[in-house]
Amino acid sequence: MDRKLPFQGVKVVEWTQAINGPWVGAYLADFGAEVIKIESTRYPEMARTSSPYKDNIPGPDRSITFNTFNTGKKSFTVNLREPRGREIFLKLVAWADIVIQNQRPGLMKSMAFGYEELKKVKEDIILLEVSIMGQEGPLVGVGGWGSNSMAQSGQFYYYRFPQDGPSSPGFTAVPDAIGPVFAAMAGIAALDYRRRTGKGQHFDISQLEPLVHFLGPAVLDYTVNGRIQPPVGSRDPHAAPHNAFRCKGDDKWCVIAVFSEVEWQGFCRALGNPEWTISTNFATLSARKEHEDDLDRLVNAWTAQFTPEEVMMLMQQAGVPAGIVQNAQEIVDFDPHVKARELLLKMHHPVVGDYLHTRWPFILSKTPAHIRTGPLIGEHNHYICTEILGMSDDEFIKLVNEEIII
Amino acid sequence: MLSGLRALDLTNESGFFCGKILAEFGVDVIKIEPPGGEPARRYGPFYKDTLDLEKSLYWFAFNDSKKGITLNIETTEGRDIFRKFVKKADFILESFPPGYMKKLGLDYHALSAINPAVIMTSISPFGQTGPYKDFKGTDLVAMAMGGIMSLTGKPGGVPCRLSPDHAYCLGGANAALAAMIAYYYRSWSGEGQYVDVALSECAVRENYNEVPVSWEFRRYNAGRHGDLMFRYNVFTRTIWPCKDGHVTWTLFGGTIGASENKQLAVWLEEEGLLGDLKDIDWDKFGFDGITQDMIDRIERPVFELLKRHTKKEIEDASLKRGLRISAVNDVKDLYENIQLRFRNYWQNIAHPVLGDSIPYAGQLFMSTETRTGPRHPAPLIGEHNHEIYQGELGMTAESLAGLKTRGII
Repeated sequence: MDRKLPFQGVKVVEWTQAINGPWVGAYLADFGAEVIKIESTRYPEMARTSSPYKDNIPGPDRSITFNTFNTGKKSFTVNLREPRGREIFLKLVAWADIVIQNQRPGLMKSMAFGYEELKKVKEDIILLEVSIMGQEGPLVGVGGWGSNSMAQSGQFYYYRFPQDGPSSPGFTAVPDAIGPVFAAMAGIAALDYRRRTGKGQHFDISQLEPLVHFLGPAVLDYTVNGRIQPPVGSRDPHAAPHNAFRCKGDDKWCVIAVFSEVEWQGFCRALGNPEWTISTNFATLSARKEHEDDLDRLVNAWTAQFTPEEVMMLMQQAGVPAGIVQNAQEIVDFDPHVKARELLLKMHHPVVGDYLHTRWPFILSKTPAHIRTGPLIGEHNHYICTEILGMSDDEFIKLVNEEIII
Repeated sequence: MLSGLRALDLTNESGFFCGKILAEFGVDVIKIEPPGGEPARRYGPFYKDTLDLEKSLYWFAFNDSKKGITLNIETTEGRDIFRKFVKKADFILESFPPGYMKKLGLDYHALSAINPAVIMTSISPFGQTGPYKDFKGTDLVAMAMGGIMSLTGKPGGVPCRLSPDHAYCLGGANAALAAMIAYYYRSWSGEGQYVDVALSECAVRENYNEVPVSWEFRRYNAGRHGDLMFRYNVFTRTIWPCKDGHVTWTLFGGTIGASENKQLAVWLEEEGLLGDLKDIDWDKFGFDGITQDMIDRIERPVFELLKRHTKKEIEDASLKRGLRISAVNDVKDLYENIQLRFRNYWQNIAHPVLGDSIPYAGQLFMSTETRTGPRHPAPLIGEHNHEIYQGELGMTAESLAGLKTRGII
């Protein structure tokens, strides 16, 4: 191996679909684990049948979304409903350190693949079961999507300005970017725990539970003070001005966040110290909060003369936190910082061709992620059967012919 | 799970969450505050609305389970003491402007010379390199630059950030994960390393559906659609008003939606709202070639149905009928949520100084071996000065007092 990766030698089997489960295995694969993804050509996992597709033609190997969440994994298509398929799966469990699954809660158990059964073939197995609401509890049956955990965790309640109803960030299920972070941490800590104690463990990881921590202060405001904190939109109780402001152009916006007195002075300087900035209405943070509607109107009148980039530069030169409300195109095609830090990697996939992939948002100085494209469906069937499970070519071909490997 | 490890936490509010997670995993996290305390202690809300540096619920929420000492690392003496701590530390967490630690002679290069096994994690708005590295950034700025805000809010209206501190929490969680990956590498190689976490990049990664996928393959900027979702040919509703608030539900076609849609049709029929939807074959219903008119025909009676009922009624019906409808919880609903109650989620944390016990958000996940979640309250200012300086560094009471007089602690 020409490079060192943290999880080299760590073995993972995952039976996952869509985003929440696959994203967990992707962290492990990109940092060196050998991750085998259990699949089926008869019932391709949800992401393989999700658009966009290469050239708009559907096909299990043509989904861009699939590649996003299955980097560096090996694909193995096996029929788990067949006794010999079951046997093969359990052999892989015996081989593995970690098993990840995000099928409908209860499905694994109903197929006799629960923790107790897995433990019988691998005493110290680490089982990560990830889901929306958890494996146990009265609302498990609702399950659903990231939008359900955004709703249940209190997130949606805050995605709005006070005068509006909640809004949704479109197709982006925010919790899908959060739950897997915690699941991966659980897996890593469990590997370390096992190294020290010899014990495996079973995790029930919901999107709901870690997400509640994101509202920590609001939760305590309720449990201590009995107050339901109102939504504030893009404002902030500790800053003013603090909002998105309209700029020159079609639906162009900047953001400005003034917390400290020094930042307020910088802000006024950037505007050329117009007379209104010395009004007593804006002299202190509490005064600015009190007159925030007036303040925001005045700021908007000023930002409207500039592009978002110009406002960002003027503010940053004055030491004021500010930025651009960027859309996808601006991030992908224009953001010089994204380019300089190579946040978007150029990838190549045998079917999809060239495409871009967002690397992880952290850079490890000695062991940077080694990100490879997602596998074709069943791409590693032969390798897994012969190299990992020790079958002969004939045995492998027999399993294919008898549709155990499908 | 990660007991026996120590982290030195120099972060401000943009990085508090990282240390909190490590602490809830069992790491001994020492929050190092400047003498007088972290500025974020001035952030509300406050315990019983009493403005007091020791009563900030903002501080409580993001610093539980840590120990706390004060130390002025801008003084030579303070830096010498910090270096002593580094010798025995496993993690260093910091969120100063890039270059600040170097200016103090406390950058990774210098600290790894003292302790090659140490893992140093820097959290910053834009990362340690690149043209924007010295730009000032906050939660709002990260959400804007990462594109999430361009998706949230009413059409044509002001872009809306997600919940307050969302980018800080997202960044903190990613930083904790990165630190653990580095730690796992160290566990067999013995080598520490440096980790660069950028909040703006965390927001871009969270924006996974649009960047780069949608732009690259659809040439389409999603924009803001309020409580609707653009499905590339039609809009469907995500958030629905009900009698006492809102619920969320999304219409799906194909095998994903069929059985749920059939159940919903039964409910509509019971309430006399099914109308001509009775003619739809849900097994064949899909989004290919569908028109907005068709979506509206389906969604209109659902809108009427949900408006008639409370969150509670809808949640009960949803469970009974196999629907994926969830209430948009406010904090009160959240606290009373039956799922979290069933899982013994809320953890009462004793605050001896306040003479009170406060329910906190609990486990990060459930496990057969270990329990994560808050272990004890956030530290008071300098609460563990005595334990750490005298107990660990072996200072005398006099030298501690001297440090205090000189403004080091």
